[in-house]
Amino acid sequence: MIRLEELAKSYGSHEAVKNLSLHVPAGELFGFLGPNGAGKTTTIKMIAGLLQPTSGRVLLGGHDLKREPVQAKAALGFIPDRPFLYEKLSANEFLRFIGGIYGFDGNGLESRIGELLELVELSHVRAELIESFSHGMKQRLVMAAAFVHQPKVLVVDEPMVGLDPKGARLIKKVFREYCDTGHTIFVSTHTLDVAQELCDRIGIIMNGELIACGTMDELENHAKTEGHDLEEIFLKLTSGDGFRESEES
Amino acid sequence: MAFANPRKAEPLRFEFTPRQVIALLVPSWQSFRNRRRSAGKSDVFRGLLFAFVGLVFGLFVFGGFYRMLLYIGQFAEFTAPLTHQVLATTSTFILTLLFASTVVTALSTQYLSDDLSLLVSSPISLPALYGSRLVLTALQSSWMVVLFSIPIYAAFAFTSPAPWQFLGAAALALAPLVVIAVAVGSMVTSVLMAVFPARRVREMLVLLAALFVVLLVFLIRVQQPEKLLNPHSIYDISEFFAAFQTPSASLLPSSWATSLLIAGRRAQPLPFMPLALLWSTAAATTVLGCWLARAIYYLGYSRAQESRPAKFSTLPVVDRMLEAITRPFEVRFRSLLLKDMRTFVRDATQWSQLLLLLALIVVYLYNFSVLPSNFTFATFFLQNLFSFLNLGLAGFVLAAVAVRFVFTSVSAEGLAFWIVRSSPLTVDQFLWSKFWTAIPPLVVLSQILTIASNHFLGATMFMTVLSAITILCVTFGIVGLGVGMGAIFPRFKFENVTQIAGSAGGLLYMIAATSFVAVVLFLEAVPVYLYLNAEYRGLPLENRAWLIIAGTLSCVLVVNALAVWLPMRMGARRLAAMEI
Repeated sequence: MIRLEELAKSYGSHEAVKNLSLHVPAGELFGFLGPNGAGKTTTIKMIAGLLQPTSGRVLLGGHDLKREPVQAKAALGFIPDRPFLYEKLSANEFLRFIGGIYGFDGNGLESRIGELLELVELSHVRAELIESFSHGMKQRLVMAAAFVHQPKVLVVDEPMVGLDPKGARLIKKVFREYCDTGHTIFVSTHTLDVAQELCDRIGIIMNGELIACGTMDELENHAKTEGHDLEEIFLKLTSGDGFRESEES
Repeated sequence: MAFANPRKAEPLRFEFTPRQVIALLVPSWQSFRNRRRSAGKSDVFRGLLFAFVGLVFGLFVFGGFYRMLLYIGQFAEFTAPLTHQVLATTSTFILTLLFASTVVTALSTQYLSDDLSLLVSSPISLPALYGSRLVLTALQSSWMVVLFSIPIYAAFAFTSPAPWQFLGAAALALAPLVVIAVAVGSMVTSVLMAVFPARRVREMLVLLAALFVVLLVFLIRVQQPEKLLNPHSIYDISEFFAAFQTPSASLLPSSWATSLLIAGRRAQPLPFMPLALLWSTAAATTVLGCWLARAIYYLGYSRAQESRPAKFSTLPVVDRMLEAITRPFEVRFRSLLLKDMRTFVRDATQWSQLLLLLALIVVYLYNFSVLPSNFTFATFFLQNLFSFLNLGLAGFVLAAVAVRFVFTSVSAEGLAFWIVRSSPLTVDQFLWSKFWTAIPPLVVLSQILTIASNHFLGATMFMTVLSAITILCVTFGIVGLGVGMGAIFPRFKFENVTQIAGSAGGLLYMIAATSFVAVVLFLEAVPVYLYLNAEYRGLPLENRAWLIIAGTLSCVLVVNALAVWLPMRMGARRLAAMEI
């Protein structure tokens, strides 16, 4: 469903992402991890069509993002880490706007919006302007917006930022159920226990290169660690031992 | 552990010292310096462009005042009172402009700035923080007013027997005037912030500032200052200035400044009282401001974090109206249109600009309605020539309106642009939706300006129709240029939409749009001349003339099509390649 072929991105002489190749099949919840500055957000922005790759290509639902951007983006739902929205619209109007630019209209859209606002627990503020929302409420609204057109592929950058425990649990449930119905989710996160709990497979990127990719068992073998702990694996693979030791001392 | 043995810190100081104020200003200075150091070629170009335009405008202001003062100097008995009144009006104008500018600027610098959360949460005394912000407010709100007062005062100096003494007096008068306006303006903002939530204050202030400018424009225009240049109406001028005089004027700092300036201009010793009043008031208002800050700044800052949903803007009536207007359109276009219209009517910083637009139309048409009564007896040729040249003026007004409403339309998406960019909407669809949204209001505006002014001018039907058709085409060109160049020079991070219009891209757009209007006028000059010549002589147009007219009008159409197509295409490419 998501296919990255030798994807690369350079900023001047700095190579943020280096020949990244990856395939995420339908129905999989893929976790994308990496230390700060590893190239996670750059990769996600390239998948969402916000950044142009220096080389390589992105295929979403079988459509090349560069050659068939409209078809590829129609299959995509994107949730950024910072929810910049149209502050002067109400929650309801915002979701109708999103539905509209994806070509949806009418009663079907209205009932879908109602369901989504119910799901993210924003029904009681549906008529209020977004400018009065907290960060967490905006984040939940972006989540709802990403589901309006029922995309085949959902790309999420840091889903847990700004969410309260209840919101976080809701998101985990929704993500899992969405994948179980054959949709694909590509999620970048620093919350390792969430990744461990939710993801079918995990990829770890460092210095722009995919240094490990697989299920928890495969990662454990790759890192040669004992015990089923993603934090342990992550720190070992990203050379985090020194940091941990200094913390303990 | 790196944090195990921190070095012993200096004891924290809570008092208000100039050193502390300066320390708080250092990051602003360093940011400014670093921005200058890391300036690329485009920044240098932008700087030079601004400097050039500023210089041209400054010379224009200087020339206007210089000419006016020379004129006034011709009428011995009126020279002194007239000069006095011009100086008094200038000082009052500067004081009120500075005050209005400060009230709006203080809102950002003192209450809404991003770095304030860091500073307010640190152990800095609030008066020190307020003092440093007052300096920033003063710099930001006054630099432009001060800069453009230089050519005005230079004109007074060059027409004075003692230029250097006048300039000295101007410096001594202007400095405390700035301090007073900034201190009082800032206090007004502080009080408003302590009483109302920030969003309401912001909308209120923007609206008040717009109303203030509208009022100022009307006051100045209705008094017909062009009569200053007409010696025959000198009697009316004294009435005009008499109307400006108010009994309370002597209590205003601007009148103290005027006393200093007049003494400087006459090469007399500066009067002590106004000088003392100006400087002591400047000191007193600053101290009062700091005292007020101690009492209410924190309350205001705290309220600035609050937000309340707007009530008027979500009125079902307004919403139903917008829904009804957009119902006939295709769903994607309708969504964009509805979003833009809702954002516009709910943002006071945007819709309040319509008041300025309204003032502009009224003043524009008023100018034609007050043409000398004997103008209708002017020659047929002159009447129609004026009608033709009026096209240029209308085009310029359209460009000025478009730079604010059309050029900014792409950037107005702000940081939420990722929504459009990651959606299946193509950049072309997005840009054309902006184009078609802007066309109807601007076509109505341009037609009103042209047809009404032609009516006042008494132009022929041919000229009226030609003007209406030309301005219709020009409107398409100006909108195409606006949307396209807005996409070529997007600025998604801004505090206020007006910043986008005032950017280097906005300036380039104004240059491009006025050049485009000039090219259209140049091309149409030949057919207009041929027609007027034939009409004047009472002869029918020859076939050759008709061919020339058809050829040049075709060229006009091609130029208009290019003005739409080229920038839209370049803008789409730029936006598609843009990384956000």
